[in-house]
Order: sequence, then C-alpha cells, then structure tokens
Amino acid sequence: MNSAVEILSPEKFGLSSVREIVESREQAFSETRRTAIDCIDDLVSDEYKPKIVSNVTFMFTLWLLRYLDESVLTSKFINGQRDILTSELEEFGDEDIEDYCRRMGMHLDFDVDREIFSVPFDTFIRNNTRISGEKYRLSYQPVNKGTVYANRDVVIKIAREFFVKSAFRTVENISMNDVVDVFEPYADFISSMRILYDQLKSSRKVDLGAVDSTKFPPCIREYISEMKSGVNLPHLARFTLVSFLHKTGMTSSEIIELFKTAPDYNEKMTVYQVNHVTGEISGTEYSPPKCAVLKSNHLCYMGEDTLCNQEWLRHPLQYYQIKKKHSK
Amino acid sequence: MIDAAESDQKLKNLFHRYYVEEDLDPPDLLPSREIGYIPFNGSMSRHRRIQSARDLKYFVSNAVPRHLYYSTSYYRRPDEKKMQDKEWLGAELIFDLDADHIKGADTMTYVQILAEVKKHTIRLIDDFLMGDLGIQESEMKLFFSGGRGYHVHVISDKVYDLNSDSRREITDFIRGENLTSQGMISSINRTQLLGGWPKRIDSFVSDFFRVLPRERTEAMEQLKRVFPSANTARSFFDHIMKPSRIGSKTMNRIDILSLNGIEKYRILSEDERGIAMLGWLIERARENMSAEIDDPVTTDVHRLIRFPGSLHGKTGLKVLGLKISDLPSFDPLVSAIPETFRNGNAKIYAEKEGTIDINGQTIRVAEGEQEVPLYAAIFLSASRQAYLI
Ligand code: SF4
Repeated sequence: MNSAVEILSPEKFGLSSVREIVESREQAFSETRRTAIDCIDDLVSDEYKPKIVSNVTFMFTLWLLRYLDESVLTSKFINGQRDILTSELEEFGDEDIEDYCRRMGMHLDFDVDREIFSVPFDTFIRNNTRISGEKYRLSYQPVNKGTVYANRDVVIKIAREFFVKSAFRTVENISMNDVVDVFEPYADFISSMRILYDQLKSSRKVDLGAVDSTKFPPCIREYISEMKSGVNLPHLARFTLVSFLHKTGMTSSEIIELFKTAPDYNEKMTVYQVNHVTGEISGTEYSPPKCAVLKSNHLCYMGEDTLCNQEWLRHPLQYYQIKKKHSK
Repeated sequence: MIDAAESDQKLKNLFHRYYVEEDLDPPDLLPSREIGYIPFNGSMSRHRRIQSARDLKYFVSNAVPRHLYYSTSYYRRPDEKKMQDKEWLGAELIFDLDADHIKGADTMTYVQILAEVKKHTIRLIDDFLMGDLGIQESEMKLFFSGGRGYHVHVISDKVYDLNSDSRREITDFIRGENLTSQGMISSINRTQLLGGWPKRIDSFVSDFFRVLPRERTEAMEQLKRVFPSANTARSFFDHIMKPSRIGSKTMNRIDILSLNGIEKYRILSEDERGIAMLGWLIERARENMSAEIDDPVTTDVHRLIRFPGSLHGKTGLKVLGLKISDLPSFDPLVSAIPETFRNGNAKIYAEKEGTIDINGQTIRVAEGEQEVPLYAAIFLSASRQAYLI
C-alpha cells in the first residue's frame, strides 16, 4: 500500500493530541518531538532537507511552526512536504491517487474504463490559479456539466496545490492561545530559535545593487515582496522576475543572492534557472513576458496604478523605462 | 422656456411614486449586503446597511435613488467604510452583459442592441453555465438590467468563496481567452475532446473543412479571407488536397481535417500555413461561440450591482427578474415598464424629432411640445432625449 503525508482534521489532531505528545513519556511520542524540533532547528538555520515524516509528526511540526510564527519558515516546511508528496503521487497508481485525494477532502472520481479523472470544476479553479501555463487554464480543459476531465498529470498538479492550501489553512486556524498554552515547556526553545533566525535574516539583507526598485511595476514589486514574506512564486513569476531584473542591469550573482530569501530556495536549481534566463547557458537571453500573458496567469497586480491602466502599456519593462525617464 | 432642473424634479417625483407604490425584490441576506445609491442630486453614496424589507421601503421612498445598488458580496459588517473592516464572507458569481462589449453596438438601435445582448446572454447560460459548468437553473437568477443588457447571478455554495483569480478563470473561459493555435497543438489529446473549448473548436474546424469546396477556385474564395497572400492560400489548398496517412488508411488531408478528432492537429501543425489556418479558425470560433461579458464585474469580489426591482435612472425601466425559460421571448421594452407608469400621459418638450420603440409600438416624437404615454415620457426624459414639462 502506498502512503503519503496527510493533513489531519482538527477532530483527529487537535489540542489534546498535541498535549499528549508534549507530556507523554512513550518512545513513539518522544521520537515525534525530536523529529519536529530537529526540523524547526534546520529550518531556522537554513539547513532543512525535506524528509518523509509520519502524519502525526507533520501535524505536530505545523503546531510548532504556528508558535514560531515565521511565514517564510512555515512555507519552507510545507513546500518541502509538498515536493515529497508530489514525487510519491507520481509513483501512485491512478486509483491510489483517487483514494488519497478523497481522504484529503478533494472530491474527484477516477473512471477505470476510460482511464480519466473527473474533477468538479470549482475544485479545479480553486487550485489551478497558481499553476502557470495555458495548458492548465480552464479554457483548455474538457469541461462538461460541471466536470473537468483530467489526466493524472493535471490531477497531481491540482492535488499538490490543494495540499499546500489546506496545510496553510490548518496552520492559520490553530489558535495562538492554545499554542502558547500547550507549548509552555518549549517557550525557551522557541525564543532561542527566534533570536537565531533574526540574526540570520539581518545578515542576509536583500540588495538590489544599483537598480532602482521604486520604478518597478506592481507585478515585479509584488513578486519580490511575496518572496520575502515566504510565499512560493509560481514558475512564470520567477521567470518574469529573473528576466526583468536581468534586463534592468542586475548581474546573475546579484539575482541569485536575492533568491536566497525564497522559501523554496534551492541553490542548484536557482543558479541553473538564472543562468538559463540570462543566456549564460542557452545563449539566448530571455525577456519577461508581456502584460497580457501575466494577466491571464493571474500574475498582474496593476490595481489602480495609473501607468498600468494605460491601454498602451504592454510590457513590464516598458513601465520601468518610462518611470526612469520621468525621474531624470 | 424649458427647464432641465424642473424636468429632473418631475422625474424624481415619478420615481418617488414608483417606490411608494411598488415593492422591490431584495436579495437573500439583505442585512449582510452593502447598499449604495446615486441620488437625483449629488454623487454616489455607499456603505449602507439595511436590515429588512420594511426598512428598505422606507429608505427608498425617502431617498428616491436615481440608481440603486447592492453588493454581490456578503459581509459581516457591510456598513464599515473600509473594505478590510467589512469582513468579506463570500459573494455571488455575477455576469454583466452589456452593449459596451458588443461589436458594432455604436451603429445599432436600442432594440437591436437588446437583441444582440440577449443572444450572448442565452449563450452564456445555455452553453457555458449550464452546459459546461453544470450550474442548475435553480442556482441562477436572471435580470434585465433596466438599461442595455442583462445580469446573471449564480447563487450557490460552489461559488461563494471563490477568489478573484478563480473567477478570472471563469471569465477567460467564457470569453475563450488565451486560446492559441500553438497552445491547442501542444496540449491536445483525446480526453480534451470531451467538452469545453477543445470540443467546440474541434467541431468548428471539422465543419469548416467539411463544407470547403474541393475545387480550387471556389475554395479560394474562403481561403483568401485567411491568408493575406493568394499564393499562400493556393499552396495551402494544394497541400491539403494531397493524401496523408490516418491509422492504416490513406486519405486526402482535407478529409482528415473534416473528421472530428485529434488527427487534424497533426495535419495543421505540419507547417506555418496550417498553424495560421488554425489560429484564424480559433478566432472565428471565439467570435461565434463565446459570450461577451464585462469581466471586471465578475472578477471584482466587492462589486455593487443594480438592486432587483429598482428603476434604472437612464431609462425609467425596472431591473426585472425573469425565468430563464422566458428569456428567448422576453421583450424588456414591454415587460420592464413599471405598472405605476403604464397608464396616463405626460407632456414633454423635445429639441429634436425622432422615434422610440417602447411597449410594442413605435412612438414618433416631434420637435417641440406634445403629449405622449407616461412611460414614454419617462423614458425620453431619463435618457435625456426630451424634457418633462
Ligand atoms: S499591467 Fe503589466 S506592468 Fe502593470 S502590473 Fe500588470 S503585468 Fe505588471
């Protein structure tokens, strides 16, 4: 039987379960405590490597993260678990995927004869918006009578977004009072973690070099601030950000530095991606996509910005150039 | 001398009479809605909370709004001024179909506009909401907007908590946005033909080739619309008249293109001409099958929309709910005339002559003073084509 980490409902894992783990002398529980604490420690000191954990350990760690209350670290942990989940789901048979999704509360059916999944359209659009690429837009889906027919590749993508959302929601819904109360014995541990984390953070200030970020369009500013606050950027946003910064004159190494603050920072991948986009690997330098593309991928944050609201504004770089010209 | 202010005051008195004599049709959970209105004198006033149908009656008879709105969202505290303080609890899913989004609307008459918008409304409801998204008739409310179009409200647990990004997926889908030939070619597989745009495009493309003449000069008539250069058009035609393999058989490409199924994408991706052809067909399919909706209305989860049963300040017609099955035969210019205004005449002054179609008849308006049916007088003065005197 295949297994993958599951988010437990508050009925299955709530305050009393946490208390039991904190207070118990049983071997299994002390194991849970140790794993969770190690995990927090690694997250804070930036040495976290996602590991497969039991459901109980996963939940217990979420509670501790709620106590620590650092969104970047919570994201890092959840994203790490999400990646493990993804590779596990990829090994699953179709029916096991169906089973797993249903247990998580995501309703879908697998049709054995036709070998396709049926996903309710609202489940689909609740979970596809952070997945880049036209292939994942509702416009491209075979949708009929409220059902999106999907193959396993699409379902796994949707399921991982569903997992991330539910995990965040679970953390948000844990009451701070409960946490403070039940983790009394860990108060010193958490405050030491916080001090360590703050020290590390201040040693790693984001530096944009000579580039003037006040002239950036809202989309780029949003990506940077999301990244700093621990939100995981969709692929297209990352691509846009790198190619934009490159075009404005930042060097590859400066860009890589910036990405170090991202919750799912992965050194090798980042270096590769940055060098790819800036043309150091591929020989082609990429440009950021047009506003229209960003808009349809939910990555435009124009709001009330007057320049963005101009009909002729087609491109984030155009925005930057105009702002720069005006300030001269 | 005509007096615009006096005409406006008369119109306001008539609106007042309406709000005293007739009842509005409040949305569910009225106390959780933000109410906004534009008075006869002055600008938009927002952030009101109205507790009950009785309070509502009292409010409209006193304030006499020229335009009255309610929020499609439910809030814990709708009367807070700042959005974040209102505490958003969810929102109906709204579609606004209006003349502004209809191609060529500026050269159409009001009656033609209404007919065209109705066509898009039917497409929206039948093809997209019910057909594709499986929304039930009981989960929808349909209104004539009182002006130049219709509003469709989806009221269902499936949609209340959708955020703006998810709603954008729906508007892009209904308008057929982002569909490109490259996108279709790279994503197409058998499963996709089970519904939605991939299925629509598939039949549209097959239909086009099925009726395309097999004789070159005749076919050129059609293909010249696709390819700017006659040479390319001709070479494309010659190309698709040649055979290609399909399974174990061999058929002319044009006949493979005429079949439903994904084989056509292999043929169309053979070269640039095919890709351009597909791009053109996708555009035509969108024009013929999408519904033109005003997307910000749908994606904005804090939107105000016209209050059911209220009067539209630019027509004096009412925002009228109707059964979806009645839409094809619905004539807003008859049904949306309030009872209060059906009888009697009023005097108007028109600066220009003209005609209007209302209540199933064409009314001629001469230059100068005259008497016309009350509802026509209201329509003409609200739309600033004449003055009430
Ligand atoms: S309009 Fe363009 S530049 Fe402005 S936020 Fe949107 S994508 Fe960025």
